[in-house]
Amino acid sequence: MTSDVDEGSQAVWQQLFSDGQTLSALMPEFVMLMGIIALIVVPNLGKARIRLPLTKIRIPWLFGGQRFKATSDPRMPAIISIATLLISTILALASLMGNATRWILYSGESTNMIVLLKVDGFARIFEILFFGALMLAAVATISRMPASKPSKNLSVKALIDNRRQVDFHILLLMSGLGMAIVALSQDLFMLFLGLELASLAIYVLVAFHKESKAGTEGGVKYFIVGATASAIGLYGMSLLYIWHGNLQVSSHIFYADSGVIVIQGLDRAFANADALAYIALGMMLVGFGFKVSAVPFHFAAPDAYSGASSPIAGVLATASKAMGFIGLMRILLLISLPEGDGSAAWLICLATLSVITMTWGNIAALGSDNPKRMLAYSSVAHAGYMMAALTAVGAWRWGHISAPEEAATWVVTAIMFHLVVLVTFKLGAFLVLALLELDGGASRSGALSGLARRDPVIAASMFIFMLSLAGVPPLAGFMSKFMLITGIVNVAAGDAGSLIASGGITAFGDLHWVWWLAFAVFINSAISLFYYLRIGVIMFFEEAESDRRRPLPRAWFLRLAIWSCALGAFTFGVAGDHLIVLCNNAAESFFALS
Amino acid sequence: MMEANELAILIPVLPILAMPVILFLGQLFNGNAKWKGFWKEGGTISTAVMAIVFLLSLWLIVGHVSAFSEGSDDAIVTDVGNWVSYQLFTEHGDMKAQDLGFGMQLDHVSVMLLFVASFLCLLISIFSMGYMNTDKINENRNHRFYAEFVLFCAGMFGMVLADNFLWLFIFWEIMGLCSYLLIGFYYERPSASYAAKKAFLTTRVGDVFLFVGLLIMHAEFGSWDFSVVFNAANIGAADAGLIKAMLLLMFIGAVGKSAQFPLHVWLPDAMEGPTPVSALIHAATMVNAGLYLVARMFPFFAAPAMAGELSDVALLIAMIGGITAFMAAAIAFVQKDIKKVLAYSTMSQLAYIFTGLGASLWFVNNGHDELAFFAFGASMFHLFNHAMAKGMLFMASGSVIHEMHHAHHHLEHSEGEHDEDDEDHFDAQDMDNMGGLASRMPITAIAMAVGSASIIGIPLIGGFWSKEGIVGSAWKAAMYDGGGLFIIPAILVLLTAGMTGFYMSRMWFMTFAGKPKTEVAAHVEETTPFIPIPLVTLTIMTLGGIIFAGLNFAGWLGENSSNLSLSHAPSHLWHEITHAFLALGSDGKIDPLILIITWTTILLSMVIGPFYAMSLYGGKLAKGQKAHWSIAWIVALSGRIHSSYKFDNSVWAESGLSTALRNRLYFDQWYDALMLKIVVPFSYAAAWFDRRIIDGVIKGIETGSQEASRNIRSLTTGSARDYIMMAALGTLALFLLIWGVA
Amino acid sequence: MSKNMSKKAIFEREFSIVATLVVGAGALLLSFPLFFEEAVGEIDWITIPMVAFPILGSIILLALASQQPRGMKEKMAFPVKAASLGFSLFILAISSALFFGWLGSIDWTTLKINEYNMNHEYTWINSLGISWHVGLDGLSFPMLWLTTLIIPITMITTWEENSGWYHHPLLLLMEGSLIGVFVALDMFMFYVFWELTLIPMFFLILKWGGKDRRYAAQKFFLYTFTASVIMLLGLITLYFLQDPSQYLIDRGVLTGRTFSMIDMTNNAQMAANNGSVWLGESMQNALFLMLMLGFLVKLPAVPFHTWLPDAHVQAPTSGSMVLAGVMLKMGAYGMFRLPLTLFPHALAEYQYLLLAIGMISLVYGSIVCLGQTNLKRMVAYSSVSHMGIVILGIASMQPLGFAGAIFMMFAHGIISPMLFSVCGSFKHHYHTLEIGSTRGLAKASPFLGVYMMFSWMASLGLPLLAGFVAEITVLVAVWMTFGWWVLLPALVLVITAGYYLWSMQRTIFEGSGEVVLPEGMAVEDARDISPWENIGNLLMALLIVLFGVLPWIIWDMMSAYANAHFYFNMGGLLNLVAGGA
Repeated sequence: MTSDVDEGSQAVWQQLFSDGQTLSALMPEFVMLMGIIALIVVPNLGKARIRLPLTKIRIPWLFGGQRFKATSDPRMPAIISIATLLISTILALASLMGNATRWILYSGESTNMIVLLKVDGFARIFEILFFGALMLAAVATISRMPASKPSKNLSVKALIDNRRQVDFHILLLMSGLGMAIVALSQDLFMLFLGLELASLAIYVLVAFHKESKAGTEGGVKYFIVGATASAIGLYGMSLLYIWHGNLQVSSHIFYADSGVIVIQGLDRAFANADALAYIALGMMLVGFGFKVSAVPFHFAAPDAYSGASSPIAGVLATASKAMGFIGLMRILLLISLPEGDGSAAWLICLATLSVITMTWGNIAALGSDNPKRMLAYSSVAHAGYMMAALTAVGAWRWGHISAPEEAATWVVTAIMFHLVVLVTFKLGAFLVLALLELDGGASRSGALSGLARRDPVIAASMFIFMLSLAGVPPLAGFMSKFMLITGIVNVAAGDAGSLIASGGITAFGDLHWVWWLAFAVFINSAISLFYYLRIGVIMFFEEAESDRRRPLPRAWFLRLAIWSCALGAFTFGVAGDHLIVLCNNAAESFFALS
Repeated sequence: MMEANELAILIPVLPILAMPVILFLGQLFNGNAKWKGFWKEGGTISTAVMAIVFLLSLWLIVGHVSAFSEGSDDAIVTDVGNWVSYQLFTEHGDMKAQDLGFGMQLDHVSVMLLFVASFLCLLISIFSMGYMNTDKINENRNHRFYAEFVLFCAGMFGMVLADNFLWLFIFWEIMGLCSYLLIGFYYERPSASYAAKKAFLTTRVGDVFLFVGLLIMHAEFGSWDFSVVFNAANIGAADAGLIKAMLLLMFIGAVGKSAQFPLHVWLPDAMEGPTPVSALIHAATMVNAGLYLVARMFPFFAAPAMAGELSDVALLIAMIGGITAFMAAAIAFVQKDIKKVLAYSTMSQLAYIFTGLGASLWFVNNGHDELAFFAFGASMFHLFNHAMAKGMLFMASGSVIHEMHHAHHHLEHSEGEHDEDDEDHFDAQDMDNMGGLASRMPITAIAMAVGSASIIGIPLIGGFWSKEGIVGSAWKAAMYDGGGLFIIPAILVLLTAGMTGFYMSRMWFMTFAGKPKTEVAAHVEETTPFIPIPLVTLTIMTLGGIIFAGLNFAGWLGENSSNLSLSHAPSHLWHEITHAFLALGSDGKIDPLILIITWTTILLSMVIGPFYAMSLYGGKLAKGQKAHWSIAWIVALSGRIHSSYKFDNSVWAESGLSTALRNRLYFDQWYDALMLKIVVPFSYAAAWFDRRIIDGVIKGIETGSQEASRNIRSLTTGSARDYIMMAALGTLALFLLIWGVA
Repeated sequence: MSKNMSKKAIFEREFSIVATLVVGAGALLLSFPLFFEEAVGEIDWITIPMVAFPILGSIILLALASQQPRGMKEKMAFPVKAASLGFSLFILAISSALFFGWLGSIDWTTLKINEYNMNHEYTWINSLGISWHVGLDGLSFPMLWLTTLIIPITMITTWEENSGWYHHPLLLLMEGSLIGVFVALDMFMFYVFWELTLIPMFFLILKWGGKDRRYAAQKFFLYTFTASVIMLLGLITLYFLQDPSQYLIDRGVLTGRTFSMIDMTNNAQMAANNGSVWLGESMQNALFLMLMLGFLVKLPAVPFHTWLPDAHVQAPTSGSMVLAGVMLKMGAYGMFRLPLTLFPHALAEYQYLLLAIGMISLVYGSIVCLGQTNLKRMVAYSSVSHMGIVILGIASMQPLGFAGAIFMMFAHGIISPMLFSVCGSFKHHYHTLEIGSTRGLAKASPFLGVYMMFSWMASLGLPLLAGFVAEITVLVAVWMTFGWWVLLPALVLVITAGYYLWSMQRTIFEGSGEVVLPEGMAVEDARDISPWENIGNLLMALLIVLFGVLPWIIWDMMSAYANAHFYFNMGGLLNLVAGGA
């Protein structure tokens, strides 16, 4: 960004795959890879033996044959993927907590050298987010996709009876890997790579519930629209490549033995951007706008959410959205945030987009009777809130009051915090719906009626999720919205505080107009409260439908996931301090140069 | 004597404490025989408390009077304590500490009122033990009556003793509450509950103006204490215009409380309450509160700074007095209900006092202090006389009603067919059902005769002394330059004197003279215990008016210099008589005008009025009935006149005027119309506005957003083609926006 | 809960637990003053248990009872209620001990502005400079005491009217959050508790309300929430208008700012003492309006009042009592605590706006009262009308007016619960709230009649009852500042008397001889109020009389607060006021 050399721990430069160092740098990702391989291999292990020719010796050759109980167990894939995700989460967390070295992974030689991945707090936090979300989804699916144990007498069915779970979890891990790459990427090409890896996996996951027409239909729609969006985005990137020559997100200075190598990133180039650059920017906005489901690129989202199985919908609403925001942040905050005074070119554009998005989402959610569609629209609204915060950064260093350095960092902190805690209550809400799907569908709000009587704990957790989504204190949702608003207001106020302290005064009109975005966010959250409360009313007020009087299914794993979500939604609300600090460090590393 | 002042706080406090006790015991022992028998359902307690209070106040009064005659002629003030303390911004922008305390002030007026109040409270408490406890309707709820009764007494004592206007107002309101409760004692009767509401609201209207007046007073003087407010220097410092406004507002309050035109409508209906209540609250004590307030205004008018400023306020007071006196007397002509007649007569007599006070205030404001003191004294003396007489009259009427009632019940029983709601068929208060009671209930008859005489102003009896003074003062005021307009109230009160003579005698004759008009009236017996005691006592008091006159009571009340002295009583009496009959001025010369006025008054009130009444309503008793000698001659005279002089008043009786009078000049209709035709519909309209418009906006937002939601979601058609098209449009919009900026 | 245990066994165990709770609470209650005689010096943390105990207690009780098998829950109702009552009585004991000085010789009247007793601070969310900061002064303590008074009384009054095992715990939760609002000296904490109060009230209305309760509950929640988020935006803006201090940044506060009201007030006062307008005029006015909006809606003032009648009419008795008694006061309290303290200049700027709002609330509210046919609706509008008096007291910008307004908050806080409990008993026993559907109830249920008459009289400002002191003090101040405008409030005194007397005449009076009952009700069903209701009403009546006759008990600290407020904060405004007078 501004200063050429950043203070703080110097990053370690490492050529990709040059030696084992890469492994230690990208440990979580490798673990994911291993997990995928394991998922491919393990379920095929069986009693197959091969006889040595001319002898009677039959050597156990584990591939094929009648599979062992364990390997044919339908829970097996889930367990593997959960284990994988857990390990990589722990690894990421470890490297985040201990002030681990920040890696910068590059490829190529002196002149044509480009930075591909950067391993820092920012990436780690998002990895933890992704893996955590996916893990919750995986845990949920243990109860979500039950299958019979293999029967005594062998049959074709018995042979393939956990294939489906295997497919599911492979896709899950693949999407996780892709997301991780997005989080790490320093080069738009890498970013696109990861994005597509994740997206394609998710498209399939959405359509995975193939028994239901809605699932396949939603998946296909999602795929078509998403493909279009990605195409536009990719086109934008190629234009950028033509314009600049590389797709480096930010400039780097590498002090090699051969001498100093300066990598000119797009951020420098945008200081004097021309029409081509702006067209490219716009196209990329479209591409990522779809990922975060911003209006008007969100239309496929409700169909996809309602079609997909609830855990997957939850992943869509949290992890996939976070992935999109990484892209947006890289493009808007790193690449196209010009130096010096004045506002970014995309300020007005994004402000409009954000306000339209949040309002549209809330208004649409007001009347929708299908809880999943309602949550889809609400996630559209949340995208709007976060985009509003992004917009504020665009107004950073505006006019005669200049916001301090921290202002931008603070916004990024807020967005990261929001994305992280979003996992707890948004995914949690979807998991509750998943539990109801086990009980025979959750596509009508009627499915929730009388939940308080049927299962007070689940109902209470659902109410917590709803209030948290609406931003009612003292829950995580309130805290995150509060952070977003503080981010916006902080930029809007600039350093008026110091001005006042030094005896000066500022008129209300001196606040930057992005202050009104904060206003819009609050008004919108007030509107949104209406439909969130309605869920609560339905659960606590209305009588259960006649065919739904019996208590909910056990599904302990699912309940476990729900409870942990509820716990998180409460804890991050009253004790989010540590997480905020983490996000803040990450945000600093996000802006930091190598 | 100091102890007396220290104990004085007990006078209001004891009854207040008695109230919860009576209520609680009543709740506890309700229906218990002993509670009914000995304790009279609380009557005994209240009587005992009243007796203690009466003794205490006697102690105070004697102390005060003796101190006064020893020369210390300033009011005795006892400070009890602070209530709330606070700070105010002054004009100059600094903070000024204030506090509102409670204290007690004793001076001539308050001493006199204290005596009246405590004396009558005691008597009426005794009376109630007879009246209330022997009536079936009150069974098992008399404790409520006594509780409210003692609370009222507390209010009255407090108001009389208060040494600042805030606490005067507080107790004033307490009395209003008790009046409400007691009028509504028979809450199950729609008429009673209506009357109670009417009384409370009407007086409340006045109270609110008084309240605002007090606010002005506080703003002007920074305090409500008499000592501060009556300080001439402070008054001089205050803004004359605001003082005027303040006095007018306070006067409106007095008008409401004392049932003067145009806020008089509540008093006649207030007779729905039990008769002791009417006697105490609506004749003897509470209605005097307004007079007391106006009397308290005297120092403002006396202040040199205000000289001549306030004469039109004084004139207004007198004017209201005159109008009310005349109007009420006129309405009293046509009333058939014995209590209603008394109610209107009360109104009229209070109006007299207002006229007198008006004159007095006018005099003092225009620098004729001596006349002012005289008028003031006369008015206060009239207040005293009227309280005694009217209290007695009401109790007497109560006894009549009570006995009528009993006789009625008795008859019904003897005839054997006794149904519950016979009260409806038979009205025990209607004078057309009475007649010839003079022989059946002698004590009552005598008491009533004396009381009426006092009210009419028969020479040498109670009211006579004061009424002459009032009428004379009014005329004197009219004669002074600048007071010309006083001629109106002067003439009005003069005429009213005659009218009083008529309607009071009418009431007496319709009740006691002639033959019994119903079977019931023929069977009345004077048997109820306790009732005669107060009647006799008060008869003596009323007849003793001459003694009080002799003691220079009026002078003592009026000016702070002269004092009560038994030793000079004969000379004083002679002085009074000469003044009354020969209109000797203070300079010893005869004032011809006043002489004429005096004798016109006497003629009108004691000759013409009663004469017409006799001729119309008089009559001999039935065969074999003998009245007590003291009244027998009156009955006989009335019979003679009735038989010999026949006046045909049918012209009047059928005239529109008398219908108007029977309808109380349609005031109630107008007020009801104002409430029901204007205020209530307006409030309903407001409620509608609130529900439909203000809340409608909120509801509109809700429904509107639902509508918007439906439209927006209809854009999600479900076909990927449309989605892509939307996305494309969005892309274009993006480009345009970026281009616009870049 | 293990299934093999018999219901009886479970019940016995639960009962023993809860009984222990009750007894423990009672023992603490008794031992408390003695126990703390020594620890007089260091009781500044005392408000923390006052917030924590009720909330934790209610959560424990809810968790305990909700895990019971069917049928047991109803059996749990009594012990749970008893335990809740025990908790609230314990809190009442603490606050009363503070009030009467058993706990240390606390003098409430000598505090200067921005000085607090039991001032205590923990860091909470350090990175944002948010801390758990509590303290009490002459403004907040009466409100605290009021809360601790009203909640147990509400529990007693509605002991048997509102069945169910989680009614009283909800009230307990309510108490905790309300106390939190009143003790908070950190704006974030203030806001958190401010919103937290909505949740129990939402459930109270939703579970035990009338037939439109669903609509009413949502409207109540939404309306007040919308207003308070705007208030929060104002608070955040205020937060960022501070100068980031290096000291805080070193302490790990990322934004270098705090939400502490004390710091804010100090800044404001420093500016005021320099004679300059803190933050500049337009900024002050904007923030003032933003904050006031939140508080005016909560108060509520016309035209933001329409949530109140619906909420009250639908809410159960307990809900109405707490809502009218304490929750409305949060609005007025917030005004005093934040905008009036921080933005004196804006107050002077908008003095006449406040006058207008107050007058409209007062007059319009009372006229609408006259037009109501529903008893509870009428009482609700009378609350609007009385809150108008509070606004007038503020607008008068007189120490007396402020003190009167605060006293009005307190007086209305003990009168309106009684009004609503009477309405509740009426509804409870006669199953209607229509004025005029009954006659002569004073005969069928004398106690109900007496309490109705008493509370009505108290509410129409009868002298020697609590309301009168507030009215006269405020109106004196109004006269001093606005002169003849005072005629409007005076007029309202008549209207108020009008609608109260009218409604009494058409409910408890008349019906000569036999009682007129609402149709479909048998005569033998017309009974008097229950002992529980009786006790509750009696307590409230005694309080009303006590503070009507001896107002100085609590008036002094209020007056002291108001004076301090003016001495320290209104420095630059005296000339304005003098001009107004």
